Order: sequence, then C-alpha cells, then structure tokens
Amino acid sequence: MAASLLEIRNLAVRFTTGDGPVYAVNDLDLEVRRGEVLGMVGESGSGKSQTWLAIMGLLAKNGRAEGSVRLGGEEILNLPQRALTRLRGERMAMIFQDPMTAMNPFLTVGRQMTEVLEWHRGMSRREARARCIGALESVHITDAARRLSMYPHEFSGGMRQRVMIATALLTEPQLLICDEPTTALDVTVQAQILALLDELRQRFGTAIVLVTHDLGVIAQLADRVIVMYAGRQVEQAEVHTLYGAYRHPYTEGLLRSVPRLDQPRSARLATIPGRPPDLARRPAGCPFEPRCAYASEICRRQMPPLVSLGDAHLRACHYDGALGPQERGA
Amino acid sequence: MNGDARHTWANWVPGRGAARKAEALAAGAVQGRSLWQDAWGRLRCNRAALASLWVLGVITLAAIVVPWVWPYGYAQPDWNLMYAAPTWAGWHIFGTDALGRDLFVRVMWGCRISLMVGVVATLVTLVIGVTWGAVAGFAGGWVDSLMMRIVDILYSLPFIPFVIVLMVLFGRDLFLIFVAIGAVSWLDIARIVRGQTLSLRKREFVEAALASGVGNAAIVRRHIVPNLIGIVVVYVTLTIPSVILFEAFLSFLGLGVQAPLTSLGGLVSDGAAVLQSHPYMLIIPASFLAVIVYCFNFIGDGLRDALDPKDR
Amino acid sequence: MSEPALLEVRALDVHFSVRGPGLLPSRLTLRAVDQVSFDVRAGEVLGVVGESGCGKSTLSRALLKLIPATGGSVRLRGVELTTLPKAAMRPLRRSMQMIFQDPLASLDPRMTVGEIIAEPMKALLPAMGRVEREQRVLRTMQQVGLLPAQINRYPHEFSGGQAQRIGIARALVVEPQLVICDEPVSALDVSIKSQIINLLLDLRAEHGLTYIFVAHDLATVRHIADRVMVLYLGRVMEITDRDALYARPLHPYTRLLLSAVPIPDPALARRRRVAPAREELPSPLALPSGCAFRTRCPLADARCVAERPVLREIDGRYVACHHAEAAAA
Repeated sequence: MAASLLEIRNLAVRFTTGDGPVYAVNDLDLEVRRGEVLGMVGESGSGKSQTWLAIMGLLAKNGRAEGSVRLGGEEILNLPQRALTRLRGERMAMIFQDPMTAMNPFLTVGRQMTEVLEWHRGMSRREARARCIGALESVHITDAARRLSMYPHEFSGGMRQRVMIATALLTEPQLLICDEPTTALDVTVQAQILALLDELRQRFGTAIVLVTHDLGVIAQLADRVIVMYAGRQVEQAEVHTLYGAYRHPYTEGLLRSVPRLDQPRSARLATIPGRPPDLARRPAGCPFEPRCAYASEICRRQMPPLVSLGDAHLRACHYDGALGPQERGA
Repeated sequence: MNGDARHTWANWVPGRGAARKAEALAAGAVQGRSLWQDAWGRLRCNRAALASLWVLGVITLAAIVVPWVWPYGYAQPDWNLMYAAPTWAGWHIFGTDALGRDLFVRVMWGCRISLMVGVVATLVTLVIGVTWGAVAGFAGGWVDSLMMRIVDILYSLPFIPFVIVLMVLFGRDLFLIFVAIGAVSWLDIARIVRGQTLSLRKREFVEAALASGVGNAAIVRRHIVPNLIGIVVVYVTLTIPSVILFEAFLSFLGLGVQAPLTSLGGLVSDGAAVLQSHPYMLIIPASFLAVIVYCFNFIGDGLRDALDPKDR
Repeated sequence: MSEPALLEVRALDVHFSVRGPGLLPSRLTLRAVDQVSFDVRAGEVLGVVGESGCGKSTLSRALLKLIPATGGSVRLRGVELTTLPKAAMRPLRRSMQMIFQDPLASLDPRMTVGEIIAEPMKALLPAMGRVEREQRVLRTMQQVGLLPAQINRYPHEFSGGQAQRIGIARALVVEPQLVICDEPVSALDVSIKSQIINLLLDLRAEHGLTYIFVAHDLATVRHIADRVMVLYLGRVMEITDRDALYARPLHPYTRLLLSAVPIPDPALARRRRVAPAREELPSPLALPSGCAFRTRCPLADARCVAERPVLREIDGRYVACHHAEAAAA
C-alpha cells in the first residue's frame, strides 16, 4: 500500500450566517495516498467541495476550518496567506467546474500560464513559454504555440478545462484536486477529459482527488471512494467494493436511483424519499435517518460512528442486516 | 413603493412579523419570509446603518418640530445680541448670527430645507429616471437606442453652468431648485434602471411568465417593477446626500434659497465668512451637514449589503 | 402512424443573424434550428437529446413562440402556430406549457408559491373566480407533492427539487395537453432527480399528458421517453422508438453519444473504454459542407462532404446518414 500524502484529521468547516451557524463538514478523517485517485461523491450540501476549498484556503469569508490537515507530514490548515500561495502553486493544485471563472478574460492563455512558472519557478519568459507549449501538448491541445496567444473565450469548454489541467500541472504538484471537472461539459467531452486525467496520473504519478456527484464518473477513474452525506463521511471503500458490496443505505439509494444504460430499463426509478438535509440543524442521531428505509430507534438518538468492516471498508451506520437487492455481488 | 400588498413598507416593521406569523400559523398556512423581510433582518444586524437610521430620524423630527415650538423665528433679529456665542441665556444654545437671529432655529430650518431639497429632488429624479429607463429597457430596439442617445447628449451638457443659468433666468425659487436639480440628475438612474430591466427581461422567470401566456403589461407590473425596487431603493439613499451636497454648493455660491430663509449650505457659507472671529457659526451647521450626509451614506451601504442576493 | 399527431413540425428553421468579427462586420447566420421535422403523437413522450449548442433549447422555445421561427411550420392539432398573431396564440397556450431547467431562476423571487402557480390561470382563464383559483392551486400543489401549508412561502426557501415541483405545478395548473420539459432534472441532485422523473411519469399517467422531454443525458431519456430524437448542430440525426434506438443506434452520432455515457459500474466502465472522438464541435457559424457530423464521424467519405443526408425512413426509423442502410443491415 502506498504511503499517505495528505492526512485529514477531525476536519470541521463551519459558516456563520445571519440565520446562525451552518455546519458544512463535520469530524472528517481521511487520507490521500501517493499516486491514487480518490473519488469523493455526494450531493449538494454534502460538504464534498467545502472540504477541499478549506484545505486549499479558499473558503468564503464567513467560513472557518478546524482540525488538522497534513501534507507530507506538514500541517497546512489555516496557514498564513503567503505560505498558502506557495503551497497552492507548488504542491497542490485545484481545478473547478467552470474553467471560465478561474481564468482572467483579459489576459492571453499563454500569459496566465507563463506567470505561474515565472512566479513559482523563477523562470524567464522564454523558458516558461517553452514549458507551457509542452504542457499544452501533454493535454492533447494541438497547435499549442498559436493557442498560447489566444484568450480564454476563444476556447471551447472542453479546451478550457484542458488548459486548466495543463496550468495546474505546470509546477508538477503532488496532489491535483478536481472539483466537478466535467459537470459543465458534454458527455463526449467528459469522456475525453476523464481519459486525459487517467493518462496524466499514470504518466506523472500525481495523486488526484475527484469530487463529483456523478457515480458514473467515479466508477471510470477512482481507486477508492468516499461517500459524503450532510458534511459527514458515511462510507469509504475500494471502488469495486463500494459499487458491488456497499454497506450504507445512502450509498445503496444513490446507486439505485441513477438511471443507467447497462441494465434493463425498469418502469420506475428507485428513489431516496425526502429532502436533502438542513445543515443549520445538527441532529443527535444519524443525519440520513429521516430518509432511511432501514432506520430504527437508535438511529434517531445516536450518531453512528465510522467503523471499519475490514479490508479498508469503513461505514457509519447502525443497521446490521442485509441491504436491498444486491444481485451484482462483488 | 407599489400597490401590491406584499411590498408595502408595513411588512418591514420589525415587531409585526411575529404577530403575523402567529396568525398565519393559526390559519394553517406557513408564512414565508419574503426577500424584503430577509433584507430587513440583515439591515438590523448592521449597527452603523441602524444607528444612522436613528440619528437621521431624530434630526428629521427636530427639523420638523423645533421651528414650531421654538420661541424664535428664523428671520427674527435681536439687535442687542449679535454674534453671541452659544449660551443658555435666552435659550440661544447655538448662539446668534450677525443680525442676532437665533442660530439653533436657523440650523433646524436649514436641515428642513436641505432634507426637503434632497428628498423632493430625488423623487423628481426617480420619476423621470425610472420611467425613462424602464421604457427604454423594455421596449428595446430603436426606441431604446434613441432614448439612450438622448441621455448621452444630456450627459455631455455642462451640469453646473446649466443649473446656474436656470437660476438666473427663473429666479431663486425653492421649487425651481428642486426641479432643476432633479431634472439634471436623473440620467444615472435612467441608465441603471435600463440596464437592470434589460437583464431582468432575459431572466428565466420572465420567460416562464411569457410561456404561461402572461401579457407584456402584467409582466412589467408583476415581475419587472418589483425586482427593480431593490436597486432603486439603494440608489435613492445614495442620491439624497449627493443632492443635499449639491444644494449646499449652490447655496455656498449664493445661488441657493432666497434669504432670509436658509439651508445648511447657506449657513455654512455665512459661517465661513466669519470663521476667524466666530468659528461656531461654521462648525455647527457644517457638522449637521456632515452628519446627515454620513447617515444617508451608511444607510445606503447597509441597504446594498442587505439586498445583495450574493450574500445568501 | 395511424393516429393524428398532436404536434406536427415541418422543416422548422430558427436562424439568428449575428455580427461577424472585424471593423466593418458582415452579417453571419447562426442556424440554431435547421430544417427540423417531427411529429408528437398524443400521449407519448418524445425525448430530444443532443450536446450543448445542438439547438434543443432553441427548438423548445420556438415551439412555444418565445423565439420566432424563421421558416417552416408548427401545427398544434392542425392549427398553424408560426403565422398566428399574438392575441390568437394566447388561448392555445393553455394546451402547451413549459417546465424550465433551472428551477430557482424560473421562479420570480418576489412572489409566493401561491402567486406563482396562480399566474397562468390569471392570464389564461381570466373568468375564473378567486376562490376557485385558490382551490385549484392547492389541488395542483398536492398533486406535485407540495404541502398546502407552503402556499405563502417564497421560492428561495425551497431546495432545488421542491422548487422544480413548483415549476411543474405552474405548468400543469391550466391543464395543458402538451408539456415541453426543457432539461427539467439536469440541475438536480441524483436522489432528487429520480423523484422528479417518477413524478412526471405519474402525472402523465393520471392526466394523459404528452411530453417533449429535452435532455443531454441519454440514460435519463431512456427512462422517460417513448421515442427519441437526436439533434446535432440544429439538425435531426435520428428519430427512433426508444427500445430500437438503445438496442441498435443507426446514426454514428447516436453511437458516439451512447458510448460516452458513463456507467456507474467500475468493472464495466473500465472494460468499455472507448476511443473518444478527437475533434470538437465545429462552430455553428461555419457548419461543414454536406453532413454536419462528418468532421467527427468515423464513417465519413466523399459523399458526406458533398451531399447533405436527408432524414429518411429505414425499417420504421428515421435517420439522416448516408451509411444508415449499412448499419441497419
């Protein structure tokens, strides 16, 4: 098993709002290993994005993060701005759902890319330019030299995401965090970007965190998967285990409510009844209890701890019986 | 602001929310929190804005009440008591001016005139600007182009000489000052409202209303105008102080209110002339002017933050 | 096709004139919808799929006359809509309503739920009294799974899924026959998405509704549609019954789309890794000659460059591809 690159212990993210505090992430423990693809799946309000924004030091003004995050053994949570900037450039990078908002529309793509190298690596403009052309070619952008002098709006959505990935990889970070990298893209382009991420991981050994709501995307790329609900980790497992032998009712609900092409069409889709959780409330029991088909008295009263089931499979649930139809065993 | 019940300012009154909620709960329906109520809640958390609201309220009340009850009139000279420093004797708490007139009552009158100029001129601005902008924005096409080119042309007119010429031609009538200031400062709001209307027209809820078969007039009334109110309210609270300052500037030049009536700008002008010997004559009215302008700006900023949907 | 169609669309064009680049720009034509023809039968669900920029949103708005068509015809129960004056169009809007993609953006933030749902009735059924209108609002709210107690709430107090229920109630309150659903579940979470799809299916069964269901997600469309129309750059590539389309797509573009849909099963997903198409979508301002899809098509040959394939029937399916017979064989 590879060594751990990033260790998160007891991470909590809280926002103060006019209506009182909102608990976005609670008691999160996890690690990212070198060279792996860690998938984090959850719906809106699950805390999946806020976790990584907190680690990157990019929380909104009213947000606070507590706990410990160590990158290669070194504490990085709530570092001063200067140290964070260096860290973001050199050891970890993040790409977002909408690459357009992450780019300056008034600067050419080349200028934005070379800037990174001039700043973090102290390269000359010429040197940096040559490196950028190489980086664009590695994400399969043809005619890279000419593209450097173009502006972001002249690129299509898929191309922009490629440019973002190339920029993120310029400083050869150990960790690349992808927050819904393909959500805004068409399916055909999404397939290309996923294939690209897979290729880069193999070539450079970069660890990738893939944050998404799409179980299909995770299945394609991830080695391990963490399922989030209401700011908590509810299940963690190796990818084949999670899809084949999940042990949490929420994971089951998610997997069964996705319409899919690889199975015969059913007349009705399975659903998870009820509504997404209200993060301003902190129930004493399991946050999924109101929507859970297997819930019993104890679920209302007591928060289930995250327990190991062996084989690197963790879950937070009181229910011990069998889950619904699991015809496709692992 | 508009006739529809849910936008009346009564909804803003803080204490009434709870009572209404109880009523609604009794009736079985849950009362929602409108964006206005949300905004009011946020504004109440903003101390600077709330304090400004109180200060402004006290000044306004004083400006209305004091001239009625005070023993002196604004034009009542006391030849025995000229340039008296502030004193409790004879209730000249702000002192007297060159003609022995009580400065306290004159300052209150000044506040009254300045606030009136500010509010009325802003209303003129509002009526012309909102109508012009909303019509241009909603009509679109060549009507829009024509109307906005007219705004461009007016923008290029030299503003201050224009007002001065008006004053000289028509005399120094209080009413005319309001209209003159209003008539030249509606351009900004026309542009803002037009821009907002254009973007509202493209919003999906307007499209949804069109798809539901709602007519143009109803769309403007039900969807465009209520959604414009937020930005207009903010703009208004920021326009009033600038109009007050502009009036003060005109008065300082001697183009303001006809003596013996006065405004804060006129009092500052009088005081500046005798700054060396009688500094209180400048300091007192200037402080009032500054405080009023400050308060409006704080309230405007507070409102902008409170109404900003990005905050939620 | 024995029963008469509820909606007949023939050679529909929606072209926009846009300014080209440069100091003295020439006018360029953007063909957002180009020669689109199809029928919608009463009671069926027609799925419309394609990538962004394929004209699916423009098409749904053109059917409702929110965007003027520049050519062709749209007939609702035999009545031509494209030439109909605005006043005459209004009563017909009772039979055609729309559900929008972004549930919150399509609801006026300053109106209560009750006011939002009542609005189409005020516009289209002005004779209806207040009491009756309110009763109908409450009834419709119940049908879409909203609580009557929520009638005075404001949209921002709802989650995305609940807000979309409000949008559905607004569309259904005037009892339309045809509902155009423009990506109604794309913005929703996975667990909520399936709730809304089931709701749409239930409502259809109860009220005998006809849907045009626009989506970019082929897996979702498979669940709800009876027939599927595939659009690419404003043109129809294929119209086929659901089961036939998913079992054996005839158009190479349909095959590309299907092969790119992610599968939530790691073993299958990794085995099935397809070589993704290299080329990206061409600019809609400069469409390729001949077949619009030829720049990304593995089958493209000289004929595809020279000649635009027409939509033609093969084994009861409609395909616009020169190589369709080979694929069908």
